Amino acid sequence: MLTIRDLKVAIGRHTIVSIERLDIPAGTRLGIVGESGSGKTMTAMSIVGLAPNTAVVSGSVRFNDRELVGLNDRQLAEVRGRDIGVIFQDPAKALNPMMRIGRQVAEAVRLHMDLPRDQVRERVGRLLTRVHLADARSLMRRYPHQLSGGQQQRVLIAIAIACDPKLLIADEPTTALDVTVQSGILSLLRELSVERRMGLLFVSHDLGVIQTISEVVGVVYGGQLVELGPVDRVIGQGRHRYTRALVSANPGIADDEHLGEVVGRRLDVIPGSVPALGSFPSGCRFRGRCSSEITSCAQLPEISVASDGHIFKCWNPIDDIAGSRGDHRAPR
Amino acid sequence: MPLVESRGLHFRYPSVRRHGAVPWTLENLDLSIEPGSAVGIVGESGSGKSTLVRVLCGLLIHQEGEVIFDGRSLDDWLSNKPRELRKRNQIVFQSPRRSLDPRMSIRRSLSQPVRAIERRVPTDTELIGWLERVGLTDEVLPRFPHQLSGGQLQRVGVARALSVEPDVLYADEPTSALDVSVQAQVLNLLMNLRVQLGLALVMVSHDLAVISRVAEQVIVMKEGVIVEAGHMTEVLSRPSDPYTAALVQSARAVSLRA
Repeated sequence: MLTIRDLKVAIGRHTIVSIERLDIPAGTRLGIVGESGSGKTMTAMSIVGLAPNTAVVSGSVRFNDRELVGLNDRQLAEVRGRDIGVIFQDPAKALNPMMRIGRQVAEAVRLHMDLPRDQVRERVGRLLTRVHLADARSLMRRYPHQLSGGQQQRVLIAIAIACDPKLLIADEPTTALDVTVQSGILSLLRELSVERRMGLLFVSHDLGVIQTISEVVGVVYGGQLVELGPVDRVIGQGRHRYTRALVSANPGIADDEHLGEVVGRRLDVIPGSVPALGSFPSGCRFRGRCSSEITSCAQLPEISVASDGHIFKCWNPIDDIAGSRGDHRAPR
Repeated sequence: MPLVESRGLHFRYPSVRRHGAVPWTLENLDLSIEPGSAVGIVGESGSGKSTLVRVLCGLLIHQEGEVIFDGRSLDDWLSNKPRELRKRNQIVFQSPRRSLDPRMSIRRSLSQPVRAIERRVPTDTELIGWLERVGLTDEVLPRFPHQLSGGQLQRVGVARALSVEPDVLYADEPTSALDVSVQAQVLNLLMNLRVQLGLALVMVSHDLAVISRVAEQVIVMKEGVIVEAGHMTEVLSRPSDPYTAALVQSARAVSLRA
């Protein structure tokens, strides 16, 4: 349904995103995981024309056979909201502080559908109930500051799904929320995606969250998609060195019986830090931080196919055998 | 004997006043921290965890109850030996960028605790030693905060806190502003230094996964109250409080399963 080919986003002379191919079939939940500066947000935003004005977007993003790159603002505004919904990291900043909740949701409904007033109102009520907000009628009269962060994010989801989009883009939607609220938002998004056959493009720096919400995961580093595949394969048996290092550096919570054993045990580290924009090495972007570098790494890696739907770009990948896993969590 | 102990601790921010009622920010807290232990404080935003560590190390003054550090009350320390209290209690903050003065070179920032507490200027050998302890070199000394990465800055923050050889190091969300790949480096550093220097490490975090790797003891806070405290393994595997149970469950639901 959404097909990306040779998408490039450049700011000045720096190419900050370069993705050869990425598809989101209808109804699929795709997670994009990456560290700061990896270009994950820029990728998501350039799809719907929300990249900053200084960014030059080239290549092709097709949504149901319609080319999105190069559309003017009016055409894009039509696509956004009706075909593609978007939610952002900070719900407090995405809502208008001066406007009641009901009016903000109604605005989204009216913008794309021509309905009489009472039907708009009814639809708003149903949307708020759908995102599990209790007492929709009184909520409609409130202002954003009277809602908790989790409630605000639910309102934004209601706005995003107001016109039944076929794809929802979510950029770190739970990062600003507490962990107990976060799991509620994630299950709501999963529910909506299944129920409406709505695709989801979920961007996060948090591998655990990505694992919870996605079916397919793309790992980005230095603006490039380094690995893509079914979530369990990529996280459990990732082939790219960066993917595996990222998984190992993540402190998970061990099973009850292993909790005591991992306390104080050192984590696996990735040396150095993510280079600043424009100072990534040529060839493989992970060069310099990777422990398994070979001479070919100075060349740009090509796409290798690990199995059906599982691709990676690494000159010296980890063997396909699970034995080499750098698992620090569950002692065997 | 515990190194830090609080009994019936109450704290409120002076300006907080709603409809005449003055809510306590921290209410009736009892806790104790043993020398050399690793304690995690978890809770959601607004639960008072950062406020608690600031009260424990004397940066905020509580109104009721008492905090005892090494056998003497905090009031006593602050009125008689404030500099020794600072020397023995140090803190690392969440945002390394905001906790270092942007106009000061790393050399100057790093020298401040020793200048303020010991009233002397540290030697180059000392400065380099502190940097090496956190995995940095003397290259960073003439630089300014904006020239360093987040991970490097947090190392400087740790080096600065440890320069006066404290007994307790409080770390308030020391890695939440950092990338995952850098977070592991800083967590390992804190764990290593704690063992090397025999420090008590008190780490505040909203991330239960981080706490479960670092801390042997855990304190769970909600709305300014300690809802549960004890051995990390027991609290996580058999939480006795319903809020803790919900927190552990949600954290487990989104924690990475490799």
